[in-house]
Amino acid sequence: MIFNQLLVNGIIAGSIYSLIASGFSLIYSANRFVHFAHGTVAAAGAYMLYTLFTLWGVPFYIAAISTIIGTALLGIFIFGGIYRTLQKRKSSVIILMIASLGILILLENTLLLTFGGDVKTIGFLEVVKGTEIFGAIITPLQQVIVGVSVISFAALWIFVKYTKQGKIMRAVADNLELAKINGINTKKVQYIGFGIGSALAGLAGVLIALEQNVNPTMGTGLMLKGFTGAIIGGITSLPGAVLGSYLLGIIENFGIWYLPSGYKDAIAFVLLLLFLLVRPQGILGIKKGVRQ
Amino acid sequence: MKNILDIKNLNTGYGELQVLKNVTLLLEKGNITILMGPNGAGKSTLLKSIFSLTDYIGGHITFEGEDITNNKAHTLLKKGVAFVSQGKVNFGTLSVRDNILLGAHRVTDKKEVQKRLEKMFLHFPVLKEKQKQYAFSLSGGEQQLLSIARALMSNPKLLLMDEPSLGLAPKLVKEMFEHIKNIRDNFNTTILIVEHNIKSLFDIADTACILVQGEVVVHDVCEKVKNSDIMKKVFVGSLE
Repeated sequence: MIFNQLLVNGIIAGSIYSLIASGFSLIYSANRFVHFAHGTVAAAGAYMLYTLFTLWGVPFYIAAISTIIGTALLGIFIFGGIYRTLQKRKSSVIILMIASLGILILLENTLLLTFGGDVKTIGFLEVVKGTEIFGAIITPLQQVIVGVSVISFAALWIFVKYTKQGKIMRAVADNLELAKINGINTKKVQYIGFGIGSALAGLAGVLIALEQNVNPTMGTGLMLKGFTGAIIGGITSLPGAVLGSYLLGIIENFGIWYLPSGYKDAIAFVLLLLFLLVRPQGILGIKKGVRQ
Repeated sequence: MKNILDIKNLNTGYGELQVLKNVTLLLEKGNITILMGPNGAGKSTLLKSIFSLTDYIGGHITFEGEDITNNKAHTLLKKGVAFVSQGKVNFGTLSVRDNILLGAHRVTDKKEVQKRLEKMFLHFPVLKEKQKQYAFSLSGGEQQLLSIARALMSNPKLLLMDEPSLGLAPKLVKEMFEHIKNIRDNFNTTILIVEHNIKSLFDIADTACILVQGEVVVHDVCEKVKNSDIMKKVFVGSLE
């Protein structure tokens, strides 16, 4: 039964990673640069929930929805205030990536300065005994995490695959220059990408805050997992990013059954390196040059 | 009004590099104009400059009497100028149908969009047949037709085409030129086309313009350009 438990643990971890990875993938697709501060937006979301719910006593669901809206606005602000300004100055993607590292450090330290370095707990749910499914124990909260993650992804998938705005986003992701020639407002698409992607990070922040403790540097770890999930699944492919995240969660959890748990991050990095060496386009990514 | 596009003393380039030098060109409504010249003459740059894809230095572009200098793509499309860029460029990971529909993404009247889509399928039956396939799975010729169909979805009065025959087999090149002729006749579109396969294009084009080192050296009816000394020099590639 240990196999089932490890699988379930992997799926739970993968659900969180996939929220980060799908948001990251959406932002990357629309903008073509690596927004490393994405994980910290999720951490900021966890702190927003902590402030609203735990400190100010706002009802939980209102606090959670406000957090998601808050992170979406934070993402839009980061894009409009920093990246867009740099883009106007014709900065290269390398400069934007360095800026994203700067934003990551700034946000993390702002959280540290405001809330201190000690871990915070939300305390919304009492610790309850989980239910047994196929011999694996899963708590109600963990069931909610998996459910919310799957529903969010399904909604996102329907949006990008079937709506007009979603198709426009995919067109921008596919070929930015051509999208411009076709009169597509690429700037608007970039803002929407940042808004939706950051809202997903906020949702991940809420779920993590409920499941684990909150600390200022949690964003970096989340980003690395989301980034790895997106890379191994295919960075511009949303289903790829989700698939990669679940795969990462499962491999990590099986890995630490055989290795000390401290190797968890190492497993993620080995997987990332292997994919970059053997299949850089990821599982579902399309090899460059094939599509045209 | 007989003239549709009036370019006056246009100077553009890329960053520090100036490519077009005082380009002046007048296009008449309903004509097909070939834009030719040696490699690096600035032919593609001229098309891109009309679409504000280069760095502007000076000059004016007027479309149907209205100044369109430095207008963005969406404004140009609205006014009736469309651009088919070089090299079978499509949104490869979107379906053929979605690719065509994106050409009219700013048109809000759904019936009108459907009407235009059906017109495209009528003129390019191969695209109707393969409408559900990914664009990247089409052959070279089909991809080129797809990018033309997408451009036509905006109902352009002026169509700019950058080497539509690039990379096509000789038989397909002939077919492509037939399509271009049909576009002028059936869609009532003026066409400015950059092309290297000029010999067969002379049969369908009305005027020809030769660009050398960013300057217009001749622009006249095809018959005259065809027999000119400059033309011979361009053909043998000795014009510097």
